Amino acid sequence: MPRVADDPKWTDPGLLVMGSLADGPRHGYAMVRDVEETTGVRLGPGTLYGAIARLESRGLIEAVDSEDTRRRPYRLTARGVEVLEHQLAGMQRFAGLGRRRLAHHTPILRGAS
Amino acid sequence: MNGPTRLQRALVGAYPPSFRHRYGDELASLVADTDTRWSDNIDLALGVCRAWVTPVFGGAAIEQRRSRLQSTTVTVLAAWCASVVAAAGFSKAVDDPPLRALHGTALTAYDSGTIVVEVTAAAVLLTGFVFWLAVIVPALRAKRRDVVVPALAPALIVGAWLGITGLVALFAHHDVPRSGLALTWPRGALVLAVFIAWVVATVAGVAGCAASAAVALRRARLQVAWLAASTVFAVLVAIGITAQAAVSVTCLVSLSRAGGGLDPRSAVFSTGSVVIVVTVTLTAAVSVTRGLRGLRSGPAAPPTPTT
Repeated sequence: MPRVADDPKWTDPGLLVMGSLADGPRHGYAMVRDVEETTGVRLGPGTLYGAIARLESRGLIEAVDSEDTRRRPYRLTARGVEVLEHQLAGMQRFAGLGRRRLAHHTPILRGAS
Repeated sequence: MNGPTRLQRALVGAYPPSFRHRYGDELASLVADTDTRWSDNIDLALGVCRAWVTPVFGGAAIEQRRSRLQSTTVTVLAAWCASVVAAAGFSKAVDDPPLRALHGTALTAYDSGTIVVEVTAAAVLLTGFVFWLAVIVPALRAKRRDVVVPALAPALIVGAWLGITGLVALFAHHDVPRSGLALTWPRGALVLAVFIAWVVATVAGVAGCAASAAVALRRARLQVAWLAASTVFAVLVAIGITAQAAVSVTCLVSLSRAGGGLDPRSAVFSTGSVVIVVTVTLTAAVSVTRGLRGLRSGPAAPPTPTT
């Protein structure tokens, strides 16, 4: 199981970056576009590269060899895949639990609407 | 896509050198490719602050370790430079001429601080000279102008500063004949302007020395073993700066408690100097703590080839 210190927070741009890279290698601009299209969150340039630097220093993502150093793609490492799977599984469990609890506690609200 | 504005180029350039070296081109390209908004400028500015306060080093593990140790060495060097300026300001404020309250605990603290500053300075200059040789000798052999020029810059800056200081001292002697060849507290607008210009030149010179040494060290790409040694030495220098901060605070508190201890001018200069030295002490302490983690992270490895 990955160490807790490696886990990005739910709201961390790092999680959004890792989620984007789960679909394959991408460079910075492609990540911004993908994250915005899929989640509606627009990552600023400083936030994006701060997240990339942190993830790379923790060994969760790595740069793909590229001749164009201005548009260098990144990909998840094996450890990054493990951490992302662990994080998403936790989010899925939490989401399932939350939905079950909501279904149990909100019949009045549903009836009112 | 309008391309990066001058402000955005400046913000990208304001990132720490290690970050810029690794991600600068990509970041500039992203800014150029994106339809930028004002919020992006704020985001970039916040990113610059985060990168300086909590630096993150990318690349291979050996590169991360090199950058960490280098960053600690450079930060402590800059902190020491600032502490020397602060010590000079403090000395000028309380001992030129000596305050009547400078006796007892205050005098003991002041004298101790003087010894600490002098011992630390001697150690930095001696050890710095060894590191300077380690940087400049291979650079001269390899005819690496990009390293030689910043490595020689501190000597040129110090030479220029000594010349300027000599001229200012002569001016002070001419303007205030009984003052001798010492810098005096300013009397009148012209003397005040010269004094302020000299202070600005001094601060700029010290900053220039620290910056050029940092550039030379980064470009020289010393072996990690050298950087580990410089980090150990940085720990000792940080201890010296901390001792300086402690005795400065003690001296200032003793002076302010003594009857008629500090006139307004001395209070401003001495308090400002103490604030500077305490701030740089905290900065050095944080950087040294992070550098020690870099020291523990593995054995020294051979240098990676320069690209």
